[in-house]
Order: sequence, then structure tokens, then C-alpha cells
Amino acid sequence: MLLELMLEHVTANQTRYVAPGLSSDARGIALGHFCVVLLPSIDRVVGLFRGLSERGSLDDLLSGLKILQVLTPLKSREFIVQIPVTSSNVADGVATAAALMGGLTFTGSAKHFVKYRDSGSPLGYDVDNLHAGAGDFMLYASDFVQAYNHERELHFPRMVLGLSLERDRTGGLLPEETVLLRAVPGLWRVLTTYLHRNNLPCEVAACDGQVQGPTEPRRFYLIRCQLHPRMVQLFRSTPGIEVHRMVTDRVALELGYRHPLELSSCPSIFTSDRFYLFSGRRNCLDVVQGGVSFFSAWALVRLGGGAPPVEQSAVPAEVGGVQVPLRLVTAAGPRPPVRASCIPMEQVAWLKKLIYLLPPMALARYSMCATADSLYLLSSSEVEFIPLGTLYYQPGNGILIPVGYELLPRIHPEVLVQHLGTGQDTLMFFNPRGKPVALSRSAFVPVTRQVLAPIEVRRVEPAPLTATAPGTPRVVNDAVGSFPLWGFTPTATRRNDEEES
Amino acid sequence: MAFQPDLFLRQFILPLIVGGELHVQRPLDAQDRVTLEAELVTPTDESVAVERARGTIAAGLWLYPVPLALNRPTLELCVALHNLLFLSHPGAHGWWVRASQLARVASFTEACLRRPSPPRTAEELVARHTLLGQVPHLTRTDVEVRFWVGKRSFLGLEPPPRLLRWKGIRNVREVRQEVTWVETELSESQQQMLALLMRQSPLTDLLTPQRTVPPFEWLPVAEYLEDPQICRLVCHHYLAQGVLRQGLLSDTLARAFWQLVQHPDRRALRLVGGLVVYLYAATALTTESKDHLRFNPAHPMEALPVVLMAAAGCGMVPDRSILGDETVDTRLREWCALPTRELGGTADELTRRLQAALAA
Repeated sequence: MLLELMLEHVTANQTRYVAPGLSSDARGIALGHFCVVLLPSIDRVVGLFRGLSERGSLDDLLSGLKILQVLTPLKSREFIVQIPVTSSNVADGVATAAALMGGLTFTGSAKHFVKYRDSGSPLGYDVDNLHAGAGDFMLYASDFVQAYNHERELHFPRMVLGLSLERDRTGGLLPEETVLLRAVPGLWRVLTTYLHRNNLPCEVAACDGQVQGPTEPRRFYLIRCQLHPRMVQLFRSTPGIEVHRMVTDRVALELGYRHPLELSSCPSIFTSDRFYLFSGRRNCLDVVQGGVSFFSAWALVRLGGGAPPVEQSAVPAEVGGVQVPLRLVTAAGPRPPVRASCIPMEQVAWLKKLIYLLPPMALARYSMCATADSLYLLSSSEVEFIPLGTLYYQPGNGILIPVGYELLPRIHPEVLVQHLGTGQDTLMFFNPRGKPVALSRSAFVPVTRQVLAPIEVRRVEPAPLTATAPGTPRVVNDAVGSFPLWGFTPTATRRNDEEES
Repeated sequence: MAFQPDLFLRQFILPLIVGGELHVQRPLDAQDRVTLEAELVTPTDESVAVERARGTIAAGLWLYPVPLALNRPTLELCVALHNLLFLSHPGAHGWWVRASQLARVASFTEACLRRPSPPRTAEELVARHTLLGQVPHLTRTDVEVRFWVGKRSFLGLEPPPRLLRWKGIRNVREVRQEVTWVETELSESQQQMLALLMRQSPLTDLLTPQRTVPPFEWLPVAEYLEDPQICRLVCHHYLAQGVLRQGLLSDTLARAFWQLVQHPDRRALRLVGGLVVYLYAATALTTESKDHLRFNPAHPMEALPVVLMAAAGCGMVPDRSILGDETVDTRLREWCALPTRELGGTADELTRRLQAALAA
């Protein structure tokens, strides 16, 4: 139903509102007991809570939180999230997150909810009269008034526990971070032995997991330990073993995955006598009843007998037979910062145009060296301003490799410098299409000194500084008619007379 | 047509400062002045342009900020100047203009000229000059059209096109002459009002002594020479105008000095005498030539060297310690003695006259 001019702007110090349940808070903003966010789909609802969970604790909002699926009079379904608010600061946060999800934010206390404040009305809105239609919710926006009927309610904890994990490519393990290894029954003993051999202390617990859904409990083992970084990829790629990281003391998430919500912001939805294990690869949640009891794995490890040590004597020999040539191969992964570039002479015209646009600080950072066929630019910082030619990064002192390539074998740059036999003054530009180019650092001169063309100067003699004299004013008598003094009054008004006297 | 303040600012006040065509229309009355004042309560483009132009002129004269806002006294002076120019307008002498009406305009104009108080500080002095400094230099283009049966004069007006038609047949000749407005035939009341206008801008009075109307006098403006910076400004202006060369400026200043002696004001005499000594001392810094000391012995009271001689005879030349340079001191005392040789007894008589005035 469309109504025009239904909303009225709330003014400063306004105390009476037509909409029931609205009142001014300490900042004078019209606010009810609840904020209601209208969203078109469930994924937007999840997105709203994701935004809210990243801003602060969701536990503060859960006490009166309701997620309702509602029906319009035309039987289309939408979602209403009803959040209790105590101040407009909280409501502002909700409105900001809702706006990101394409939702509309309203405020009110019971049935009637009025559009929450925006830039058009900083103190909020009120209605000029109430809509008399039937419905459980009546939402008043700028361009519509809509009644909604309650269809069903979604429980927030159930929704959180039922969400699938998402891939997370950014999160790696922190140094000395404790992880949980979930192992199937046939692997846990081998796993603990492996950890013992690598001198990593660990604890083991046997769990009977209740997977969400009507299935039988399944036995699995949890091993708590700290891993070397090299083992993480090994265990993640081994079938039957999952690596989990602790989110809270009762919740663990599989490494490489993230929950759509920030679970640490709503610990109250996780029961204290249960342990929750979110698995991304299997897309399920293991809930362990009664908590988890860990035991030290030292007593459980099968040590077995080792082979006798072999004693051998060897004499150093020439290694000519195992020498491998250095290769420049393409490499994946993040792009390192660019430190140099090799610009062919055909692109020098572009460089000239670019130099005109460079800010002074950037121009001062570059030095250049011209060869017969190319122009080498070297930057003293890691800021890229000239995206021309072949870009180089610097893995080690004096070693410059084209971006997108790496050297094989992966030997340390300092070892490479020693092997090349070049001094500290030499820059070695590796080229995928030919031999490396060695340039002396002293051959590089600042761009600001090199690029400036000769300036033609015109010598002028100093002129005495004199003030500009004003021109001569010339009286021009305009036509004044035959009665120029008609209406001439020496005194304007009585008030002016008094002033003059 | 109703008075338009912005037009008045653009076509009268602004050209008065920066030069250009200064349009004179029907006389402004008290109501127009109030309208003008009300218009300038908030700055307009024209008022800002006027202030900027005044600021440019002030920057060439004065090192410090000066009050350039168009306040009520300033506007009254502008209105008065406009009406003063209107009194020379051909329309003021039309058939339908009665003498009593013109007298009312003159009376109102004179009241506008008398009401503002003269400037008190050096900054106000400079500010008034930025507004009225061009008044003695106002020009007007008079056109005389002669044709086969007579002639017509148009003072500051363009002749109508019909009068210039058929030039060959009617033997039309057009003579244009640019005149200085103050040198035109001004009535006695206009001259008095012009003198009042000069009193309201003493720096303009000091810097334009060569004008004919109103004649230059030292007495009303001598007190302003007490400010050393104003005195220095005036001296440098005179030197730039070549005051020490024999000519109108030198003659006017000397004649005005001996007029001041006839109406003795000891303070004014010492200030003006000090100014003349300063002029020659400043010249002695740069030259030893005595060409500027030539004068006509037949008219000793129109020669600045004679004033210098009399001032020296009354002890107005400072000591060597104050002059600071032995060469300057030697030259200055030598120059002071030169007129005495040419004038003989007349020199002693003039010196005694100045001594008597200073002793009065």
C-alpha cells in the first residue's frame, strides 16, 4: 500500500510521538524498545549477524532477539529480525549492518515500527497517523507502509549450528598454537606415535560424537598438541585426520574453514557440558556430550624396537657429478614488492610521459641506468609508480628476479651471491630469455638528474619596482532630463534628522 | 529612475579611485544617502571592488593596514562630491531649474562636507586620500560643435547625432577639449565646497599643491606633518615631483610658506620649515650640484632656497650629530648661505620676519 508523506521528521526536543512506543533517547533520537530489520532472504539474515558479530558481542542482543519469517498480504515471504536496543548507539550499529545487507531498519516497541533515522532526518521519523490494517507487524517506510503476518520463528542457536563452514584461505596457524587433531579409530595410535617420534607432547581423548541429525553416535579420537608448520599440510591431506583450531574452550573449527559468524562473539549459545567440533570438509558438526577428557599420550605410545645404528666412514669427493644448473621458473603465490624494472627502449616514450605525472617524493626514489637496448630503473623503496617493462623483485641483496618467477634450486640468496662471485656493488638482473645482466650500483644515477632536458634560459634585466598609478578619472555628465531636481529632499526621514542632529 | 546604489558604486566611486568614466547623474539627496548606507551593510561585489582598489592605492603609499570600509562619513563625502560635480552639470542650469532648488542642493552638499570629522590618525589620512586623491586630477571632455548658423557646447556630454549630420553641407566642425575639472569655471560656492573637501582629505591637499582651486595653504594641513611618517611620505612625493627645480610646485610651496608667516602659528611654521630643511638635507645626501638653488631674485618669496635660508637663520637646521654625515652638513650650510649673497638686505629682512613670527 502506497501512501505519500506518511512519515514526519522528528524535530529537536520533540517529546510526543504519534507512533506508539517511540520516545527520545539521551541524544534526542526517536527510538523504541526494538529495532526491526526487514530482509528479503535468509542469507541476508546470516549476513546481518555476520556484520553484527564482527562489530561486537552478540550475547548482548540475544536476550530478546527474534528471527521471524513473515508474510505480506500478497503472500510473499520476507524475514524480520527483531533486536532489542537500549540506546541509539546500538541501533546505529544495527542500521549500518542492515544497510550493507540491503535491509531496512525500523524502530518501535510493539506492532508499529517506524523507519529508523538516516541522513535525511538525523533525529528519526514519526508518522502522522497510524495505519489501521490488520497484521502482526506494521512497518512505516518513506515510500511504503506494509503490514506483515507472522509465519514462523527461526531460533538463532539452531541457525548458527546449522550453517555450513566456508573456505578460509587466509588463516594459518599461529606459532605455538594448540590444535586438535580429529582422527578416526584406526589412525589415532599411529598418529600419536608419529608425534612422539617428532618429540611433540600430545594428549588424547576418545569421544562419542553426536552428529547433527538422526544418526548413531560415532567414535573418534581427539589429539591435542602443537604442530610443526610442515605437519599441518601433511595432516590436512591425510584421509581420516582433520586439523581443528580452538575458537573458544568449547568450540573448535576445522583449519582452513571459517564459520559465517564470529563464534567467539556468541559463546552463550554453546552449552557448557558439550563440546562442538565444526568440520568443513565433511560439512557437519560433531557434538560431544559431557565434555572431553584428555589423557597424556606418552603412556599409550607403542615404542617398539629400533634398527641398530649404522656406522659408516666417508671421504669427501668432488661434487661435479651432482651440480645442477640454475633455472628461472614461473612461480605462483603472492606478488612480492617491485624494486626494479627493465624498460625496453621502445617504451621510453611512455616513461617520459609518466615522469611528468610522478609526485616529487616518488621521483626522488628512482634511479636509472641506460644500456644499449634497455633502461633499468631501481627504486629505493617498495612503492610502485612506474608499471612499465619487466618488473623485478629482490629476494636478496643484489639479486633481482622478474616478478612471477623464482630461482631453482631454492638456495639462499646470500649463498647465490657468493656463488656468483659478485661484490656488494653489483646488481644481478636475471632474465628468463637469456643470461643474467650484471650492472654496477654506481651506474645508477637519480632520475631527477638524468631526465631533465637542457633548459633554455632567457636573461632579463631587473626592472625597478613601482606601484601602478591609477588612471585619470573623466567626468561624464549623464542625461538628467529637464527636471533633475524634482523630488530632491535634503532630509530623508525624521529618524535620519535625529541622527544627523 | 530610482537611485541604484550598486550602479553608483560601479559608475562613480570605483572610477573615482581607479580612473575611467565618472558618471554624474541627478543630485543625490538624504534618502539616497540612507539607501546607499543600507545597501553597504552587507558587502557587495562593487563594495569589495572599491575596497580592493583603495587597498592597492594605499599599499603604494603606506606600509600598514588602513581602514578601507565604506562607512557613513566616507559615503557622505562621495555623495557630496557627486553633487558638487552635478553643480557643473549642464542640467543644473536648465530652464526649469530654480535658483532656490540649486541652493538647497548646495546647502545639503555643504552639510555633507562639514559633517564628517577630519581624519585624526595617519591611517585615516591615507584612507581618505585613497578615495579623494584623484579629485584635483578629474578631467572632463568638452565638445564644441560649430555649424553653419551657430555653435553648441556640450560640457562632459556627447553631442546628439542629429547635430553632426550632413557635415559637408552644414559645415559641421567638432572641437573636443579635455579640461581639468577644478580649472573650469566653478562658482564661488563650488570653490568653497572644494576647499571643504580638501580639508576632509588633508593628504590629498598636501600632495597636490600645484592646483589652482582651491589655492594651497599650509595652515590647515601643517599639523599633519607632525607625524614623521606622513612628513616623510609628503617629502618623498615632493622630491619625486622635482620640487627643488624651479617651477610651479616650488613656487607654490614657498608662497604658501610666507603666507603662513603673515598668520603666525609658531608650531605650523616650525613643522613646515623643518619639512623644507628635510627636503634639502635629503638632496644633499645624493648630490652636490647647486642647480636647484637657482631662483628669481625679483620674486624671493616664491623661492624655496630663500625659505631654507630663513629657516637656517632661525636655527631650524639640525646639528651635524643629527644629520649624521659631515658632507651633508657642509653642503646644507653652504646652500643655506647662498641666497644671502644674491638677495643682500632682503634676505636679512625675510629672516627677521620669520624670527618675529616664531617669536610671536
